[in-house]
Amino acid sequence: MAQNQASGNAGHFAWFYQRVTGVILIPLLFIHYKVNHFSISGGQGGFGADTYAEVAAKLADPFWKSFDILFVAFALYHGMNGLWIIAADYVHKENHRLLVYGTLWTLGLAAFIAALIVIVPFKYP
Amino acid sequence: MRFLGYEVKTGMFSWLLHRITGVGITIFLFFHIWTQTQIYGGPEKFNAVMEFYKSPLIKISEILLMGAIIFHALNGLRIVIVDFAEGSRYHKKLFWGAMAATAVLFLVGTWIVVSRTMLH
Repeated sequence: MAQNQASGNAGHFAWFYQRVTGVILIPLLFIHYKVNHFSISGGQGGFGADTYAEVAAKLADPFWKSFDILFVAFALYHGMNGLWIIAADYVHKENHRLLVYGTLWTLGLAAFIAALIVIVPFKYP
Repeated sequence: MRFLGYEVKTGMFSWLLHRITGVGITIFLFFHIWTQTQIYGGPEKFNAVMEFYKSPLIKISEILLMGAIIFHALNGLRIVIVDFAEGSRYHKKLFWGAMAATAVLFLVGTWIVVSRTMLH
């Protein structure tokens, strides 16, 4: 049963949502790789060597804007929550835990805001 | 299986590798977001950054990153099956299934990257 599997000190909420977001991330990740890293640059380059024109055209598309916001939100939550789950196994003092938790949320939110600044207002002439 | 004098169990191996790949992917995510912010530098600046990503060392890192992500995704799916679908009854089979799928996807992905970026 699920209850027996819950281990560590991060809390049941963190444990449960790590699994939920992880499962959701798999199809999003697959699409991101396929479309962003394996299909553009005319089949050559592609992987991490895209051109401005290709990245900009996609970034201006409302569908991909929505997809990217969703993807980066889930990815950052999963990444920061994962770091919290690891940290909670080693940090035991309550005020230290609060400091780690606050730092992770701050870093995660800062990265999310940076991503939103890239995605939301971007226009391609 | 023995490694460096330790009796390595599959459960411990996947638990540790899951954490290591998870931390690595999260650090990468921050870099990936930073790279995208360079789009506001305009075509020349952005293409210069992309040019830097064409170096062989970066390509190898990207292939390793892809491997880490494939492992983390499939091992994560294995964890979910163990936790929610009574996967503990057949956990050994699940582990080796996840590892086999990781190996296949990693080889296919590596071939696509290498054939497109290095062999021409």
